[in-house]
Amino acid sequence: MAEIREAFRTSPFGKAGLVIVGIFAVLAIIGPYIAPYDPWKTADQLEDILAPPSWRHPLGTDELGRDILSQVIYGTRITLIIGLSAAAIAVVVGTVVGVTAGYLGGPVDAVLMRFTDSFLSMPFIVLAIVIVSLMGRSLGNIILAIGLVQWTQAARITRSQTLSIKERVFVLRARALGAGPLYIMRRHILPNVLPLVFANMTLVTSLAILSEAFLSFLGLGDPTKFSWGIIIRYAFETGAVSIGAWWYFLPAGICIMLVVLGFSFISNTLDEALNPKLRRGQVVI
Amino acid sequence: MRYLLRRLVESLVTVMLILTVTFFLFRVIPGDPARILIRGPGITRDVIEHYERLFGLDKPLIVQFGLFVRETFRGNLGISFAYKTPVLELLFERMGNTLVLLVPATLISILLGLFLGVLAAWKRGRPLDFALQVISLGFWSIPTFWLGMIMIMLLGRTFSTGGMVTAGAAHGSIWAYLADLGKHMFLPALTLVLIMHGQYFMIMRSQLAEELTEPYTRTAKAKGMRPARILRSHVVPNAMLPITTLIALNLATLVAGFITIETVFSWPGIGKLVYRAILMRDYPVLQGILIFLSLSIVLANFLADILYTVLDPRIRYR
Amino acid sequence: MGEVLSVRDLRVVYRLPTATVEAVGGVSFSLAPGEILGLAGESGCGKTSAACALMRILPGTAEVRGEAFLEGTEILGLPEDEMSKVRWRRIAMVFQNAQAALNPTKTIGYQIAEPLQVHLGYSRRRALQEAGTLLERVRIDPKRLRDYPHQLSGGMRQRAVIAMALACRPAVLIADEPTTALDVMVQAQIIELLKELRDEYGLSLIYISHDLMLLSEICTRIAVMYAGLIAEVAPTGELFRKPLHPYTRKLLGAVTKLGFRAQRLETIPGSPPRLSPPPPGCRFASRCHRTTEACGREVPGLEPVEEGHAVACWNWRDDGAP
Repeated sequence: MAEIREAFRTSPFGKAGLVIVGIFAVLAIIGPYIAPYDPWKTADQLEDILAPPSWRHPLGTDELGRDILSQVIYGTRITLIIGLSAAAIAVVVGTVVGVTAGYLGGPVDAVLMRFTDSFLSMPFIVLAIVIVSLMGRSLGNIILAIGLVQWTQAARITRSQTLSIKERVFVLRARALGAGPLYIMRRHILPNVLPLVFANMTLVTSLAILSEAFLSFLGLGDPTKFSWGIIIRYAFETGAVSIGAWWYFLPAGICIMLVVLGFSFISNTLDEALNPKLRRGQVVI
Repeated sequence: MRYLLRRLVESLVTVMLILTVTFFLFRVIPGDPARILIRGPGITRDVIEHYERLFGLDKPLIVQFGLFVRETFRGNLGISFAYKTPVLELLFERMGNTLVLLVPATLISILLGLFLGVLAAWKRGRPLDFALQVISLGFWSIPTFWLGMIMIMLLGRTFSTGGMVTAGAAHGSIWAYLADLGKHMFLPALTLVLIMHGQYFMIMRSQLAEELTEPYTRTAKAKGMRPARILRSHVVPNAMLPITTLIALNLATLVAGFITIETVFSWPGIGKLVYRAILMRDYPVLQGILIFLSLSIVLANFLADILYTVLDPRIRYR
Repeated sequence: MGEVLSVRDLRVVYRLPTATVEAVGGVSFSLAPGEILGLAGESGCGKTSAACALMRILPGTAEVRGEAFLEGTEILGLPEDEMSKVRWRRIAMVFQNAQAALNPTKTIGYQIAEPLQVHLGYSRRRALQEAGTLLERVRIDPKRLRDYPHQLSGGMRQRAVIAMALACRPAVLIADEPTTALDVMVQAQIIELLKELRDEYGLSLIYISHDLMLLSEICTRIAVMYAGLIAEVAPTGELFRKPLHPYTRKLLGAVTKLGFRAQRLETIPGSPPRLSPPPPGCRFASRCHRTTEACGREVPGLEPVEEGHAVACWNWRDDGAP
């Protein structure tokens, strides 16, 4: 814990990441209360259709005259929910696979790791595309699809950590005293892999947010919600690019970039704090 | 040799697992999944019956799986609903176009990423390193298609943006054709390079940082070698060894980028095919692309491992 | 005769994010031509830091102060570019762990020839030829030039590293625990080899080890370091006959009591003080059996006792026979 606090104290990246993610987290919570309009409310007047930014609509409107700023604000919550839940699914699946493989070893390990490798070789976006197009474009299915394709990293990380922990004295002693595998995994292995899992979850969150954007852009977003990816999708479909309606897709993309960047900054900082290999480094040249 | 044999067996197991995952994915999902793969709208009765027989759709699941594996190895990936042609044919037709765009973009990204990575690792902790990290991670965080849209908005007038060549244009010579192709390729390729190089940058930087802490770099310095030479003759070549594997390992992450960029720029490759397949619910094409890309990645990983053993004396002599 | 190397008040301070550690706290010594000076002390006492400071191959977190004259030229303040010409040509080093010190993906030949090509402008062919001669000199078959480090045995690797260090015929060679990882037979061979090479190449050697008995076999003079400072320095015979510093005595006691080489020096009760920051008085005070008020107040300087024998202790005069 002390290392993590120290890492965030000394790293400008870490601080920036916390600030960015913090701001968007607040926005996700209070968003609906501060959004100037109902994001679904269409325009009454013609001049409000695809209107550029103005005092009335700070980020302009879309082809139905809906307020972009409100869409982006509402999208924050959806995007973060998708990112975090998908990442949670991914690390839970990954940790179960990794700890089991690492602790049990032998044939179980071999099978699970081959399985992990095959998932690693399958382009995760195509896999997610297939899952969502077969199961339907709902928020839950999108979360599930992204979670089910991003678990491989967590599995590899927790496996190698488990391999090293299970040889430590306290585990050997517990085993000699007759502790069962489940007990040891819960009491000794899990607490030791959790920090790494948490660090991985921040990275997977950023990947999940990007994946959501990709899926939405390809027409596989949940049409009943506004996520940042969906806003860009609508802009693309409307031809916002060719008519120069930059306000339609620019803000959502910037938000995606900032949040993804924020989460990866945090993930990098955690990695540096938790990975002694990176810290040991003494470079002479 | 033992190592390569083991990797070969591992790769074959991986291939079988990929086929298993794909097979059950398309068949355990609610509905009448087995049949959605052959009963597209507008496909004649004859064709449907032929495929039902070929894939044994009236037989138990395990038999179906066996037939599926057999047909896949024969190159039969089913028939596209939308195009009414065999999926494999479609893939081969489109793959060339994708490679024309993807290969140069990937190579340039790798070179750029490696170059910037060396620079950052060397100046670790200094402002240049800091700036390079922000820039690379920043681009990495951008959805590819969004950057593509911005590119079109900013530079779409200067360069061409729809398809590979101007539709209906008669190219007098191969040079005129290539010039037209280049004009169409520039923006999508640039977008891909900007996004993709970040990943290679980060791989290279951390690999080099690790290599730089190895005692042999201190030896090289003690030997009076100047930093540029230490990097060139010792650190970079050694860091490149694991990087060949890491690059292959990360191939799967490139797919999202090129699928959407082909969509944005109407590039008639595999990515565009994916997009169309999603719109048309063309499941055989989706299944075919999943299998095709996965197997390509397994193959690339295997080749990278062979390359690694050739390049690294520690493994070569084991 | 003049001195090959003269070090004055060498200090090394590591500025780490969490603490500032004074690894070497002001060390002075000199090295006569052909001499083999031993640097003895427990691990972490600053021996290796001092050696790397002379080569100027410490990481950026280390701050080096003081002066070091190598054949009359001050090297600690030399611009980096000039220094890279001094390294290996005038002062070379044999590292503790040959396996790690060698680049695992380059052949032995490449690594020996490299400084010849860079410093002396040899062609590749000639450099490799010379590398072969050097290998032969350390009794390795020149065919091994084409081998990679992991293909050699531990003893061979260490000899190859010595051959590499001799390539440009340096005036001073620092050997940092060159035999620690090797078994006793191989150790003896390497020490014999170093002695021969000293005569043949006109080397002056600094030999770093925690093993006093081993140092007594090879060194003409020994400096005992404790917690970043020299506690006592004397010609080898004199040091063993008449050790004056309580630390030296305990070291020797630890050695002789056991009757064979003490592999570790932890037989002395207590442990060295933390050096971030160092305690005010004598650094050995916390483990010393005989302390006075002065010991806790001020660091004792090295005080000459006889020709070539100096000790840093407030009470060396009062202390009776061990």
